[in-house]
Amino acid sequence: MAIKIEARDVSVYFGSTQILHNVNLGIEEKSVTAIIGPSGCGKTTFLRTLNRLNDLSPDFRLEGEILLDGENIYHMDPIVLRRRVGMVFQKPNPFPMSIFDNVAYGLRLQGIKDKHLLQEKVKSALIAAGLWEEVQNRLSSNAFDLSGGQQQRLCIARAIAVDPEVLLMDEPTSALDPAATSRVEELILELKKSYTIVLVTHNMYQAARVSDFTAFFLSGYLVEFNKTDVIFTNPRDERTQRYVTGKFG
Amino acid sequence: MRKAFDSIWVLLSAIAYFSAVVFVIWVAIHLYALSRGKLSLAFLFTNPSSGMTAGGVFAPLFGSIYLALWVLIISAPIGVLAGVYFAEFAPDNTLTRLLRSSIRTLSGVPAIVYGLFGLAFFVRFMNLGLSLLASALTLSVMNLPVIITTTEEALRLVPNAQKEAAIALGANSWEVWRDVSFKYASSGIVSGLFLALSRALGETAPILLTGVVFYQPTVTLDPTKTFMALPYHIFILSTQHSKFTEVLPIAAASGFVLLLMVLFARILAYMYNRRIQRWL
Amino acid sequence: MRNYSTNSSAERIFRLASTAAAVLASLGVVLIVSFMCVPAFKALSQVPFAAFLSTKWNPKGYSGSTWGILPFIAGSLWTTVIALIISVPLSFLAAVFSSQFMTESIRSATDLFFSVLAGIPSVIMGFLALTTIAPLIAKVFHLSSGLTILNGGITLAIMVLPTMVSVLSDAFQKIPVIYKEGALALGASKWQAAVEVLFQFVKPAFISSVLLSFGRAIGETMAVIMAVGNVAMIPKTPLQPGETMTGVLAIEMPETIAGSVHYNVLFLIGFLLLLIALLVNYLSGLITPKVRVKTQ
Repeated sequence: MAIKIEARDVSVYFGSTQILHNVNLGIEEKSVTAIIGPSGCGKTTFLRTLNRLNDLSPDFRLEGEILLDGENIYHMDPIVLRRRVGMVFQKPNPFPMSIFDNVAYGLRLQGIKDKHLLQEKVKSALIAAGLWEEVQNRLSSNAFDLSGGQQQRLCIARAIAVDPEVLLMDEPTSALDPAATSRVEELILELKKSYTIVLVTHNMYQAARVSDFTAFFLSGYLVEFNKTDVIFTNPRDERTQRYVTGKFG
Repeated sequence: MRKAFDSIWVLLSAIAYFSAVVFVIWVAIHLYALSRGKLSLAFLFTNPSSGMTAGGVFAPLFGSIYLALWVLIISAPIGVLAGVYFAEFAPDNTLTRLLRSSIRTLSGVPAIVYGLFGLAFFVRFMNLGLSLLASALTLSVMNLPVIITTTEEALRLVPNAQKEAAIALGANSWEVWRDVSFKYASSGIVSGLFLALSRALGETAPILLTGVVFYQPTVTLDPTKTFMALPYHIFILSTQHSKFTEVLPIAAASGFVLLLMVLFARILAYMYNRRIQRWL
Repeated sequence: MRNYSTNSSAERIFRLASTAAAVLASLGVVLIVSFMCVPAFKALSQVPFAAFLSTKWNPKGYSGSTWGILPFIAGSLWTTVIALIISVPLSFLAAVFSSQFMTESIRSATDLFFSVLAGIPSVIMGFLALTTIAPLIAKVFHLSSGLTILNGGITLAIMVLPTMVSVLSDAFQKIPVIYKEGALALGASKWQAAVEVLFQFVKPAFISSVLLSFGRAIGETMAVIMAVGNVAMIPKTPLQPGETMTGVLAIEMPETIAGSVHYNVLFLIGFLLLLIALLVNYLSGLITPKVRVKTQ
């Protein structure tokens, strides 16, 4: 299987503080790679470098390279990058618009104006996100009327509507109840057939359940990266062992 | 003993607080009373006559509103866009911090100093002469700090999560502004604009030296001409008219009209400002 | 999928326009200072400095002009100080009452009145000073005319009160509740808690608001002109008339020939006002950052 997106010797600084130290990590395409580690270990920072969202912070500095299909992401238009690499956030953040307009937003940004085309794409995105049946009759109602779990699935639909190649998910279920969480996890398993997924999670059961590969970060260092079952049953690094068993108990 | 002592202070402070409330109501009633029946729709639409002892305030009223319109047209785009720059694009270095603090400091400069500046710069240096345009430009410069600061602050209140959602989908800064920031910041921006409007209507000192005149019965849309304005009208009637007791009711009535207009603008500003706080 | 942003030209215009606006606005700052400087410095070269320190102001004097600006400085200081003496205690009382003894619902209604009070145009306050307050002063103190420094001071006090009250009241409300509760738990009354304990937290805001009110009062023009009688003399008591720096500018500038010595001296007075305003703002800016450090 090919490497879809790859970090080479990546170090991240915010001002004079170094957050990530020399990370080397290759994400395989059409798989789910989980990123785990204690709070403050840099997992979200790492995720956000993959779609250059960290560029928004004024004192952000990157050393090393990040390659998407072999191309340095800093050599391409960030807007194009973000269409190829989508993101779902920790707290659902739908726009204060109708359900339809939310999902169509990214498509309209690309200049798609044809009503039928939009309707088709919105529908297929909502189906893929497992939300279509619940909202098909109220596409024009406000997104904020949906429950938390539905809003998050809406955000997933919005992200996949533009047909990205990679989907970055930053603790997508941490704000959801258990029922909604398992729905999203089922969704992730479905979505990996079409997209490369990078999933940051602090829930190790989740990482074990849905991911194919797991990367363990600690204090800004990538400590270990391997197939998920190896990480959880037979980790090579003692620190990984401690973290994994500590949580499993 | 302690309790009695305290209660006196609490009572005094209540009086201090509510006397402000009472004062406001008193001002409105007092002006209305002093105007002794001069107020009417005709008052608004007739020109002053017989040496100002009769007639209405049409020319000054028109002048004030027309002036305020010009001030908004000039200061709103520049002020809002500058506010956008400082909130979204400005890098955080010494230059921009210096600019920000100097703009903030400008808001404390006395109105008459702006009048002097307007005279030296717009009237004389830019050769606009005593004109509505010179006055509008002077008032615009005076209002820029308010508009810039309110816009900047309104934009800072836009939830980051919303902006990031749009950016993650590939929106550029214009699209983020158009689809996300503007919606959230508009109440705040409008509030700042209404405040600027209230000042454009009520300020005298800046226009005193740049273009307002006491008597000009023909109303014109030409901004290169001098103009009449309500606050100046009230000022002259009150301080330089030979028959003060005769014109007192007219001055009071003009004051009442001006007060209503300025207060209306301020109340709207206040309401738009509360709107932001509701979804915070 | 298209490989470019559909609105890239709109974005470029947006960035350009906002940068241009910011540059323009900043230019305004530079312009104001320089255009005030030039005639002011001309005056300094045309008139010996000592002449400004006299008490006689007579620009159109028959036997030569005198340029003493002391009467105006005195007039401005007198009116401003009286305004602060009246408004500072009153605003403190009102702010304590508003923040400690009023419920949120009533306060949001009455706060509107303070915002309204702050918005009353200068001319209207001046009109009131002329028609209502002045006769009152004349009656109480048995004067022939109420157009006095005291009249100016009272009028200015009313004008600066609302801002002081709202700044102080906001500062009181920002104090974490635990401090108030701590004082009350020790047996203090609400009033004591506010004045003795909570006041410590709002001291910087208090000083800052006094400074800003000083700046606002000394820069006020129309209301003061209509209140103080405009006689270029140094008042010995507040019951005498006087003239302020802002007053002389508004009254004499319209009649002055551009470029004349008179014109330049007036600009010098204006420049002095500008410096005072900048100084006040700078000082209050020094104090405000300390607010955040202390309440952490």
